[in-house]
Amino acid sequence: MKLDNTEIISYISIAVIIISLFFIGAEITGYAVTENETAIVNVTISTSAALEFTTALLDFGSGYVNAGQAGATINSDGTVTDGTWAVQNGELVLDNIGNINLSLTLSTNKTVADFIDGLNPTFKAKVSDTAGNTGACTGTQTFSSYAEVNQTLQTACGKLAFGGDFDEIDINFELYIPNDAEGAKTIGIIAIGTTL
Amino acid sequence: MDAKKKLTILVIVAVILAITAIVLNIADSEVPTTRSSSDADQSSGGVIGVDIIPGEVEDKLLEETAGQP
Repeated sequence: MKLDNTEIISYISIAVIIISLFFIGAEITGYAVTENETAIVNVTISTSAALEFTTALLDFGSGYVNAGQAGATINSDGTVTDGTWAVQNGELVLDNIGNINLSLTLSTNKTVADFIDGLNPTFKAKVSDTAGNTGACTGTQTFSSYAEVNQTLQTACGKLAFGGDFDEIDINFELYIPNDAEGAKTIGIIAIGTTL
Repeated sequence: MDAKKKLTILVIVAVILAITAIVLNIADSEVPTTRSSSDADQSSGGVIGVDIIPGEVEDKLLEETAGQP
């Protein structure tokens, strides 16, 4: 028996239709169930690390070093020594908005000399739990009291907790401004959170 | 309808069904239940600003001449 081209194409088409219908049918209807079957619904909630400065700007305003003084010390705890800056009681506020504990480091985007200038300036940070967030920052705490903050990553909180009322910290700053420094100055604070 | 037209329709139907079957197989009907984790290091930034203005200059000449007649 010899098949012509038309017959061959017809048979192939029919075969393709049958095979396609089989797969389509299997996709849409699955297979018939004749007994009780159990199924499992599985969901995985992944962890997500995220930090946010809810207060991202701290402006000490304008002032100058009192005449006859080598320099002035100002901080955001409300201290102004030998200078005319207005008392500052603000701070940066950092929130762990993720759903996992983090190790937190702080650093700056420039050196203190580039920031303040003049003779022997200093720039220090102090980290504490925000009011009502007791226990937010635990473990290694380089900045539990005012300590130099610079371009080197230093651990501010060995563990910065997440969630609830214990995921927020205050970061205060203290500047020593020499009397030969002058101008409008800014510096960036970089907070990096690493999952524990 | 001649045989050629019937064959053409048969082929078209076969092709459509084959494509449908392939698409259904590729687009798996399982509902994804996980999402990619975003545990990579996260960073955020703040800014500190201060304006240092020149201090008042003591006028020694004025002080010295103030007491003279």
